[in-house]
Amino acid sequence: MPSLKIFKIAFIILIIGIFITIYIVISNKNNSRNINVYYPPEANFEHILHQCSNSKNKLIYHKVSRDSDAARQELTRLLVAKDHDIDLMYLDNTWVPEFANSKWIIPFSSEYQKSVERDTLEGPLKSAMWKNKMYAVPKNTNVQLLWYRDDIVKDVPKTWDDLVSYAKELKDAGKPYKILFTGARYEGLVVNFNSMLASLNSGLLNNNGKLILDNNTSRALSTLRDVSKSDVVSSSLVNAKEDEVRLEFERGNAAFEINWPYIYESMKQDNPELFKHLKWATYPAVDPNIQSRVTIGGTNIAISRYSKHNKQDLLNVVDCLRSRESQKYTALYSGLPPTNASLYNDADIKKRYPMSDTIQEELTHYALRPATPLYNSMSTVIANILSPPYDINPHESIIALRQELNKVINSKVILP
Amino acid sequence: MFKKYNKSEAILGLLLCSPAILLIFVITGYPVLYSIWLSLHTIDLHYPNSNSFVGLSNYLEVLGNHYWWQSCLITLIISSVSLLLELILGLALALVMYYTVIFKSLMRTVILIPYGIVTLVASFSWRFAWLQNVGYLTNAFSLDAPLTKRISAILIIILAEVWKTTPFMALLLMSGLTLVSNDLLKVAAIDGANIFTRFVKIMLPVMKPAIVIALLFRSLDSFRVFDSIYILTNGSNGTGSVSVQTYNNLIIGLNLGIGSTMSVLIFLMIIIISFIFIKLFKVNTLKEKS
Repeated sequence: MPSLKIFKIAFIILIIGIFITIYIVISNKNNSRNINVYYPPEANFEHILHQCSNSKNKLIYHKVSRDSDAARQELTRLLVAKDHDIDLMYLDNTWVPEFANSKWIIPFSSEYQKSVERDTLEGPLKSAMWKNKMYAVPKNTNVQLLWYRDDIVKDVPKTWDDLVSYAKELKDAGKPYKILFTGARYEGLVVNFNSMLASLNSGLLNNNGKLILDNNTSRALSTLRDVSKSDVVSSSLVNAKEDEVRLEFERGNAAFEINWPYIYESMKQDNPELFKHLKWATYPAVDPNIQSRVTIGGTNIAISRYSKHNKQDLLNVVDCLRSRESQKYTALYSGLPPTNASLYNDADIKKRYPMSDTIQEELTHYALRPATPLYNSMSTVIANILSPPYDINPHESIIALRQELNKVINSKVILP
Repeated sequence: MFKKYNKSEAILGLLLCSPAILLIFVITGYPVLYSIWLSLHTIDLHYPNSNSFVGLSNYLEVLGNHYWWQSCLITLIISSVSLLLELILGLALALVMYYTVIFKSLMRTVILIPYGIVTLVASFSWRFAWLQNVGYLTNAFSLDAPLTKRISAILIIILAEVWKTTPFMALLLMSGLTLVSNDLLKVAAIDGANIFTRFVKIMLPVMKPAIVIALLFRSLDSFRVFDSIYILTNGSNGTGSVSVQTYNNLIIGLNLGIGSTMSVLIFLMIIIISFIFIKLFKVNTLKEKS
């Protein structure tokens, strides 16, 4: 019976296949020279990993999701399961308290911390700290700027109020006038609110993690509402995330845009005509007498508690990843602003980033997001309360914020 | 139930079943009991050392929360509307599949295609169709951003659900149609019953068990609706179902206490739905089989 023979052969092939698979899995597991780096897709990051690999340790790039919420879920799932395979990971700077408090990452020694302090900007450095210990090293930072068109805007407004009245004048004159910023119900809305609050020298949490809800909160809320309610914002404000904002500005019917520096490169490609008129300024202030502060973003690198690798080897890799050379390469070829202070005076960087002085100025007047392990839940709750921003009632919003954020702090919050 | 068998046969029967029962208990019983245990504790993975027994306070917290009731309402709306549409369309498709004279097998295959597509993939294609500015359906109906508005988003979720599972409904209902005897229909036609009377008086009563089973399966299934919402809106603008909310608390919020409480509540609701169905339609699966 020929069919029986085929079955026998198929069965043998199957068994061999299973053994080969098991062998590959085991041999990969035992390959202790590989250091696994969990990092989101970033242009030319392979090059940096290659530079930081040596004969002793080879760095393996495990791409996590580009979307930061999804990436956080992927990482937390591995860490909750105490996965040994994860050695180094990227942390969005809002996750440091969460990962540190959950004991998923290990703190760096105070000596190492001092060496990082020497060449790193203060804002990004603080975003890597939790309870006075450094749990991650800043790799690159990011900050939103006020972008405008110099063919229609002659005198850049300094505050949100001025911005609105300027845009109204443009509208009356029949010119492109819109003010674009992220107003969708997500973290981007929280970032704008946080920057407005910080621009009044306030914040949501004090140093002891207790809520601060006072006149400044109310003023920041009314500013956010007044801007959103004005007739000079985009009609799709409540759906606008970074990319919607970028695309709408590229279409040419807006005068102002609050966004990250990545829009510079994409404008150059998408709309070269408009690109000639693309200029930038610092984030608008809330009070004309108080310096505006803007929330910083950025990426930090941390070491997993569950890594079985030699700690010194891991430290060497971290050192290489955050080195001046790596950061310069990332700034030039991946478009991400460095955390290394000296690079802002580097000729190549200045040439590549005409706006680097403005970025540096904003980084000296930085604002951090509330430092709490529960930032993720907190931001979901805040975004819910502030959305849609044109309907904010400062008094009611403060009551809602107090009620809901206290629940977050006591692990009693229920996310929608 | 053991009356037919003598004692030793019954014991042997139980012994033979026991490995399977044990396996089912280990696979399903343990997680269920574990989530009940978790739901009685404050467990937040952000605070690994502060777990404490809190009794039913998580339940009070969830049941007193307006987001939870909102998700319950949304789940109820999505599952009942889609169930109704699926039943009507499924019945129509079942009749087409059963009585079609030409291209019978081609027809059946074509009708079953949506069911053969992975829900996740189908949801993605719906999402791309309804995206702002680029979606072909958004442009065809010249809409603004249908997925970001609550009512239109819920309608799209229902549409995706109905499109996806109507074939399954039709398949289950077609099995009921095979029970309808052709002779009976012919006799009724000779006696002067028109097509509508034949459908209501003969077909539907004969198909009733199949309809009830189909409805039960689908209502339990649609009550857990997750994938299409996750892809289409991710629960934003108040479009999340109870499963989406549970996922947000359990997996994103890492709050095992609250999240498990929600999953236990979903479990209870599903038990209630099955109970209502069985009582309401007097389905006794054992009796019907015998």
